[in-house]
Amino acid sequence: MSIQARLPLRPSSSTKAEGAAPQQGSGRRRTARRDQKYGLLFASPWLIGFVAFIGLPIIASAFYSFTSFNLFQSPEFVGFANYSQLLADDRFYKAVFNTFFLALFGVPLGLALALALALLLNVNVKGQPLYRAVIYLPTIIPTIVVVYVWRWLLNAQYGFINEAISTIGLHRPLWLDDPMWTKPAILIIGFWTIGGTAVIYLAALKEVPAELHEAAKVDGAGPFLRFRHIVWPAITPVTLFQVVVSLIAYLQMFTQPYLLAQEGRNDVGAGPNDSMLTYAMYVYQNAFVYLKMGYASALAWVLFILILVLTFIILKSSKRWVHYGN
Amino acid sequence: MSTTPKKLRYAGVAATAGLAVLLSGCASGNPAAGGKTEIVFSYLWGGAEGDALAELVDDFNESQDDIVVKGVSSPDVQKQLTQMSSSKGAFDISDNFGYATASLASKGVLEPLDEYIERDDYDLSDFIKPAMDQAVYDGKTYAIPLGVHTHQLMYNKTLLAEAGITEPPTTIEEWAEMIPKLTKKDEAGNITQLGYGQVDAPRSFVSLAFMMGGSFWGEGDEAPAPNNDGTQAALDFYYDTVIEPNGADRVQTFMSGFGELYSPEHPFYKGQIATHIDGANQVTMIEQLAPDLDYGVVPIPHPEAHPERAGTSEITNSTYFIPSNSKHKDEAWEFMKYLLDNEPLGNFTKAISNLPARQSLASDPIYSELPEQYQVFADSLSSENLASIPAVPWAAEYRADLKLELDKVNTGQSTPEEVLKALEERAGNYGK
Repeated sequence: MSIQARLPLRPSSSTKAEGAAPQQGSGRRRTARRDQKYGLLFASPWLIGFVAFIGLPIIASAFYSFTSFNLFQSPEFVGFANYSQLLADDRFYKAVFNTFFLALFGVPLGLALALALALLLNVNVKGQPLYRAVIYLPTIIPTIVVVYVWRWLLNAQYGFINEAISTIGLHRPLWLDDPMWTKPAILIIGFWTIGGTAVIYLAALKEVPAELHEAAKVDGAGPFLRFRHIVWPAITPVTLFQVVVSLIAYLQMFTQPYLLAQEGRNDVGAGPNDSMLTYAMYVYQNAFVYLKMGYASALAWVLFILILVLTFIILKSSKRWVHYGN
Repeated sequence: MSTTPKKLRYAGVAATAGLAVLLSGCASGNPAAGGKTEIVFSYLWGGAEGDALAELVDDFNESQDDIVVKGVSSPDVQKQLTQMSSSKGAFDISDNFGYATASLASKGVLEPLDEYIERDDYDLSDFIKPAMDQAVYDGKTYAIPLGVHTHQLMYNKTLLAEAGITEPPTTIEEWAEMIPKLTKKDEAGNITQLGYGQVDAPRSFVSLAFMMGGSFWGEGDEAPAPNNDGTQAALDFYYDTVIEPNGADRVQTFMSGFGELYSPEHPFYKGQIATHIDGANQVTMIEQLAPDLDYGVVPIPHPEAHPERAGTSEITNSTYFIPSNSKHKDEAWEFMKYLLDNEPLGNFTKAISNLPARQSLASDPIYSELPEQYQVFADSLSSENLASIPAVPWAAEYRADLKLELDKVNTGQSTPEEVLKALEERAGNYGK
């Protein structure tokens, strides 16, 4: 039963005669049809955009993934050759490893840091709005600017980070030139822009009922116990959202490693020993540098299925750890 | 209501009139171009090089009654590719490196020029042969070279003098002996000056490998074969003189402080590296960006046991081409012929200190106005030891992989042997 059928779209009048009911019913149907028409009309820009720029390309890429296609000539059907080629491609495995490494450390650490920041921003202190603005500020700076600033900050020889590290007598890492340090460098840059996540957490923290805190305090619960038994369960729905969104963002990471590694236009550099080669970068290189559109499409579909499976697992597991207040 | 059909009629008339104006523009040249046929020349050069090309465009336009060229500096290879993939072209003539010709031609996006060459009896014999060879794919000519590039050894005279070295090296052995003397470290062991810097690893490596007797192709130019004694010797040279004695970590730390290559921060201009291998365009770059640099250029040193290899270098080239989706191919060909005429070609290659692709221009007095270092590059064209990577569809991929693998030597991740083996395995998948 549709919403329109269950809920009257206009207030019905009890003063009308019983005999008017059939006409009233057909009137409602006409109104419902008209509303549906207008609804579709207003949504049409998005619908057209979705079909033209997302729906059709998705279908096209599924088709291309079974072809050899260089963008300029007609695609040639090759069956599952692109998918079987993946299995013998060492750069594919490298890209998968790098991407999962970043996601494995980036998602939990990023969320933990954002939550810690949100908890700090939730403390009632003087100048709190200013602190919130400062924390959020890095997220509104264009990524390309952020990365180019960090390229210099992380410069092994002249960078501020290494200067600071050496003053306390620690080893100066080759952040962008040693395969062991390039991924931590990407993570650091990512953490610099967790203000957006922190703000969402802050909104969730504001929703935690104050009376629960008061009651727990009366019962003698300290800050840790209050966080463990009151705050954390209350913010698990938001955490679920953040986990899914962050995981997808990390699995599709492109801009930061691309800008850190690129030395020139159309460059296929991916950092020392391909240590910054993320999955999305490899898709891009195959599509637009090597012009292997078929292979790139196969890569994209594998990533899509991976994301789908992981998201499904997370949502399934959420029944055990997410609390919706009921 | 009678006003709606009336309005519709007016709208229809206006739309038809607008369409007619647009169509007339398409059919007989752009009215803004004064009735002449407008063609778009999209070039990858920017900055001073782009300005020099823009001057040629202006000169051509002044001399023309039928064609007007709109020059667009668009240094974006991706954009160039995208624009060539549509049914209607966004430009009518453009440029690229010679090694990209076979790759683009194999995808059907370049217009074969044979018909035009035959129709106008255009003489190609004046163009340098290795460069012309790269413009031919599957028996057809798809591009014409404008400039060629050879690589020579550039050295900082001041740094050599400080190290007590009076003459630049002529043999690999002399050079290998000099590199440690030209490398400086501070008290903590950090490198402050490197005797030999590979700022563009593939470029240096390919020329050095040819010098060591190496090759990148198997018999009959049919398949890539990068793993041989010559390529091994070239990698060993860098590994033994730079990486091994200083440590990959310290070399990487030092190189991480290098500035942008096309800026005054270039490590050679700043005295961070004493010797390196590069092309003739550096002569103009140095004149503009580091006019006080005291430097010299000599041919890449040859092995003492192989004096016959003197003058060896990789030769690459830059080309003009017409995309197959050009709307005005005849006009684009006319403009290409103008660009390749001796005077404009001489003016442009001189402005960017590139070696002209025409042999008849090689000794033209126009180039005597360039700094004396240019002459070493000019002389290199007469060498019989110039070599190039053959024109094959996957040449660009091969170059990209060279860079990726060479990085592993620089970072100490792989030995030269491991790098060449990996490169060989990777090359085995080309075209699949």
